[in-house]
Amino acid sequence: MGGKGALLLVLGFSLIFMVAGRNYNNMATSTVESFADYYYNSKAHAYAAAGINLAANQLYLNNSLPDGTFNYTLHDSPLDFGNITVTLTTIDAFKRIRQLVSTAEYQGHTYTIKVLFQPSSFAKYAYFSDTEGANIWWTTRDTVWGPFHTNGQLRVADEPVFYGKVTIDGSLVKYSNRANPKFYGGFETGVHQDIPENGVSLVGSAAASGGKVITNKSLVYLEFRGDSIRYRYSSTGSWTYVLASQFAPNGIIYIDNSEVHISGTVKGQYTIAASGIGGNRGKIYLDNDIVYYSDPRTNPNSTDMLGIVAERDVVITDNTANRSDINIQAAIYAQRGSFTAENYNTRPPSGFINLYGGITQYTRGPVGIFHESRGQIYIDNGFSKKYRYDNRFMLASPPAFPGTGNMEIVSWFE
Amino acid sequence: MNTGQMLLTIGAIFLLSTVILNVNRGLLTTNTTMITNRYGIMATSLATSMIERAISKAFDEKTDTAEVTSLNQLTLPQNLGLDPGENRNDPNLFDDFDDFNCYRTIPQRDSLILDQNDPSKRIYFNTYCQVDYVDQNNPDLIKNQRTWHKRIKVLVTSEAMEDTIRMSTVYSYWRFK
Repeated sequence: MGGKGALLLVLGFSLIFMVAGRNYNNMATSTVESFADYYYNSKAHAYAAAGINLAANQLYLNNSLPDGTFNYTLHDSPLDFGNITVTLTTIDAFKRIRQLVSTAEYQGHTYTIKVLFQPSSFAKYAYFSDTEGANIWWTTRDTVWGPFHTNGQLRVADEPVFYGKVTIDGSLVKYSNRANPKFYGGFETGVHQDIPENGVSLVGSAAASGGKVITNKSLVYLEFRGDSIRYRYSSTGSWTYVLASQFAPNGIIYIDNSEVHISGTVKGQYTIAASGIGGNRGKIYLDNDIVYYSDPRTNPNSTDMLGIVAERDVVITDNTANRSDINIQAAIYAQRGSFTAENYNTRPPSGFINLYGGITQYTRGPVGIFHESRGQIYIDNGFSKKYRYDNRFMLASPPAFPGTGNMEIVSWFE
Repeated sequence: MNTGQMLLTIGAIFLLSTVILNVNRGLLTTNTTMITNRYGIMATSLATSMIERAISKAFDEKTDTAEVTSLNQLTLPQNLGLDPGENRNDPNLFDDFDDFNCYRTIPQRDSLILDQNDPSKRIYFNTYCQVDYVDQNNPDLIKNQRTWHKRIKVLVTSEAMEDTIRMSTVYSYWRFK
């Protein structure tokens, strides 16, 4: 009995050891597989990123690069290499949205990176200026909620706050050592972005293809009224009413060589542009509030969107309606001029400019005069400012709104 | 215990001994394999980190603060590497991709402690980088002239590793805004 017991004991131990040994072998195999997976995936990722870089450079150099496939091979040693395939496709021809897909294969492992590009629009800026003027400072009361760019110097006093990315081509000038701007979205110098000289005319071209083009009128009044629009060609003439969808089916209204006055409630997506350089031609006057039918601040699904594009200034009219606040919901673009208030230095204090959108202007324009007393700001003439960025403009823009001529990365997926 | 039982017992003990020896050998092999792969994973991570660190910089010294439009504005091939004011002992001062050309880590400083309770258990890795201009259509081909594409090769070695970890990628100039 003792012999049999010993035998069973020995066989039992043998079995246990064999199971343990098998587990150790599995552990070793698993470790090797883990390392191999990590190494192969890391290499495949590096190769896929290389493919994106190589193709992105081509797209950067030529925004009109035709769709196609690019193949590359990268060797780290003669028998250690990966194959890369990059495909450029246009996935939305109208919006010119393009996609790069880079797939790298290394030792049977593949890694894919997808990048979406779209034309860059000035609507994306909460604030843009080519020059800031000689003596205008951003101070503690100033807050910019979205992307900010100036080709000039950024002059700061005290503690202005910038929540979006700030890019400048000039230098950062501080009023005093106390100046401490808050760049919560990042700050980058050496970035230059010109306002194109053909921004307005390109809107005109787009209007000619399914929009509304008005010519030979030196003065145009236009009021958005939800589903409809009314317009006239003098300050006292009778209004003509028309369905907005019939007036400008593609949403683009271009008024050539004219002074334009607008107001109203915008339903849908529209861009209104004015060209011209003599007198007040090429200027767009805001005669009263111009807001969205569905307010995107309370309705996140609102698709109402407006672009105001002037060859010269976008001006808040000095009239009775604008003596007590003005509400503006739009992306504003002043190609050669400014966003400013008429008679800003002589008109009475007129409340706030409640702007929801963004401003692109050649030169920063004044909207009021103030003085400071015991830390308080008092408006002497014109407006105080309440500007808020419309975040929808990060990814969308009013129809044919002027673009930078460059592409921008919309998403990077890997 | 008769002769048959004796033989069975001897056979069983022989079997047990063989199994124990095999298990022990497997254990040692597993341990060696795990250590080797652990080092390999560390080395791969170091190489990946070096690449990520390099591509987080500007493409070129000249593109760090401005946009360039001509290849002639870029750094000459023979000047790829450290720029004035930069120190190989302080890579935090590097401001562009090709500053990593010929960059080597300092093994003693960049060593990894394997056992926090025993700082003497360290593993030393050597990381070496090489940056070259490469051809657009054939990024394997090093160019002795300026192109919009630079390739970084990263080698990581260690006395504790049998193989060298090699990784590379291409960094090209583009600026979408």
